[in-house]
Amino acid sequence: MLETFSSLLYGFTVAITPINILYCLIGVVTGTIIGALPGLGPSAGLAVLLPITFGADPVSGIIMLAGIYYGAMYGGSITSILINTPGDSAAVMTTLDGYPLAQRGKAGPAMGMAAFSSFIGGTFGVIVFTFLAPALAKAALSFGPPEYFALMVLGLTTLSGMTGESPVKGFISALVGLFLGIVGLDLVTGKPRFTFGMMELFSGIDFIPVAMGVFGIAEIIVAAEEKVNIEGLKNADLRWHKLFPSAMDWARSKWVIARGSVIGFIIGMLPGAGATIASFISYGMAKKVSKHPEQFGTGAIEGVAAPESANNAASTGAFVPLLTLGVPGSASTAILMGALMMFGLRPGPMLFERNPEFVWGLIASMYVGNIMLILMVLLFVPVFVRVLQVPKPSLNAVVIAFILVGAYSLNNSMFDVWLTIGFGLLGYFMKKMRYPGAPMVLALVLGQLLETSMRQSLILSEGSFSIFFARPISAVLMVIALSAIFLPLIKSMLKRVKVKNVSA
Amino acid sequence: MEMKKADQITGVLLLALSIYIILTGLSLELWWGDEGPGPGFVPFWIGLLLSISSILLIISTFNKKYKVESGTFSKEGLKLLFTLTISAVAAGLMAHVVGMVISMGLLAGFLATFFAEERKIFTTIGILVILPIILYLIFQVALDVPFPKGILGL
Repeated sequence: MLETFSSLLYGFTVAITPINILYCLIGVVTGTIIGALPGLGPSAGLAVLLPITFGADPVSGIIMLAGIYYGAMYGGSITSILINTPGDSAAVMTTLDGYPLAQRGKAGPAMGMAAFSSFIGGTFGVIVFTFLAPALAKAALSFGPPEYFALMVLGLTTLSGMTGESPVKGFISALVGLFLGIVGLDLVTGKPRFTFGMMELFSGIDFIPVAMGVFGIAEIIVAAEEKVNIEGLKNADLRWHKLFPSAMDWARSKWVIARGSVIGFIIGMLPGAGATIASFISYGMAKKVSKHPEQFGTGAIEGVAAPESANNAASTGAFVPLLTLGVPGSASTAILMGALMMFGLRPGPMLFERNPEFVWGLIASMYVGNIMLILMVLLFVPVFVRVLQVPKPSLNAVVIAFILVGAYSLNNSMFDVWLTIGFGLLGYFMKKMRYPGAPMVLALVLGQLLETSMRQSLILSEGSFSIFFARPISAVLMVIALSAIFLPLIKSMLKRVKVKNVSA
Repeated sequence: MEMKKADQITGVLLLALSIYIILTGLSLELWWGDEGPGPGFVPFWIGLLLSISSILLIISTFNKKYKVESGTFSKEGLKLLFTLTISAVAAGLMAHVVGMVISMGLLAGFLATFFAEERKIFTTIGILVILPIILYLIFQVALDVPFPKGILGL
């Protein structure tokens, strides 16, 4: 306990330097704006803004990216409440009560409640993370290649099975991501695979052009097809003193926020689940235990507090598997993992031993970032809303130019620009045909690690696959992973049988 | 295009891709003695799992009830996609002639005008002038990215 406190204090000495505070501020502000743009969520925000961190020190870079992540998580609620258009999927539930509140002239308290619950959920998440992560990292030190392989398979199968409408499409997306991940020279033998003689492909396909294309360009085109009425942005009264919820609002929401924070953090830690599912469960739970469930959906303030506390707590919870095990569970954390590897850091238990200044600086920055986020929101929400009033076509055009320049600056090569455009096209078709993009990006980031840990395991076992089921931890993880594949299939088969029986 | 038809077409295309991956995996080494899997091992399995998934996708199109929807791909959406792709490729090619920051400014100015319902000349000019300056300051001055320089030396 004392050791954790002293490490945290050390982290604050790293995080509270002028340059890191500046990076955190830029991250929170740009993340909030990107998150508020309809269609663009935290994954898009991270992918689009990642190139800005290229020249930065790893600690500063990741502090900024973490700021973008939770800034975008909050930003999604702005358009949910004001114009009934969620900025990202994790803010969908916020529209149910946030927009009716705005229509009744209570946009200010709704925005305030969203900000305070995000702050409480986020801060609760960071506090638990501070004490849980070092213990988990210590436990994970005993993990070998089979456990890592099983963990990665679990992350991939759960994410594929749970995102999107069809598990089969989720698995296809992940398999295509794994395929993209093996393009390039084989790490052991040096043989080229699927490179078609192109030198640029010898080092493999970087995840950044893929993420920028799929989450950036594709999302922008899809969002540009939809007409968004921004009248609500112009009419809302968002003077800062209007943003404070009343004592009655707090009385109704306090337990909802507490529950949402706990649910959010736990679900955020699970691979594949993430902020969207956390917000759905938290909202459903709040409605179930409420004395006035009939008010949900018509403008209940708890209906804003529940999903917002949960999605921000989940975004912190998602850092647990990323930093302690080195296995991200969502698209956003996959991008963060890719960024860490780009900075030359390998996420996982050894990170706590080898790079304490990085880990604790990041953790301390999360406390700072959450405080910064609430201050920014309370003081500058009208400014954020004004930015959103800039015509959407202009914002979209600028973001696209930014994406392409960012893609170039990755390796100072036009090849990455072409890749980004290509994956933008692919992402558009995937989006239209309801293939989730997250499993593909996660699989691409994990691809090489997955292959390496599998090969190492098979070398240990002299070619026997039983190694994945012979060790207790990997066996349990593999069983859960396999059930994540087969359960959706069995469920849909049972459903079909039931339908046949009923119609017969 | 109907979703059912679109699913069938992608199912077949994915099956073809998976066969290609399997064959390539087989042409590389699958195993090397007692030392574990070779470079073809993982591609082979990815291809095999992808082929199973694509067959499941194709089969599911015959059993699944699709909601009646107006075409998955709208004309407007495809027009946006086409214009954006062509203009982005053109901007990329132009980067070597006029320089990266200017070509991206031109791209953004064009797209802002094309996307807009009400075209405002001042918005376009604003983007054409301000965006290259911002890109120059962030990427060339702050991050020291060596962009292709055009005839203007920018």
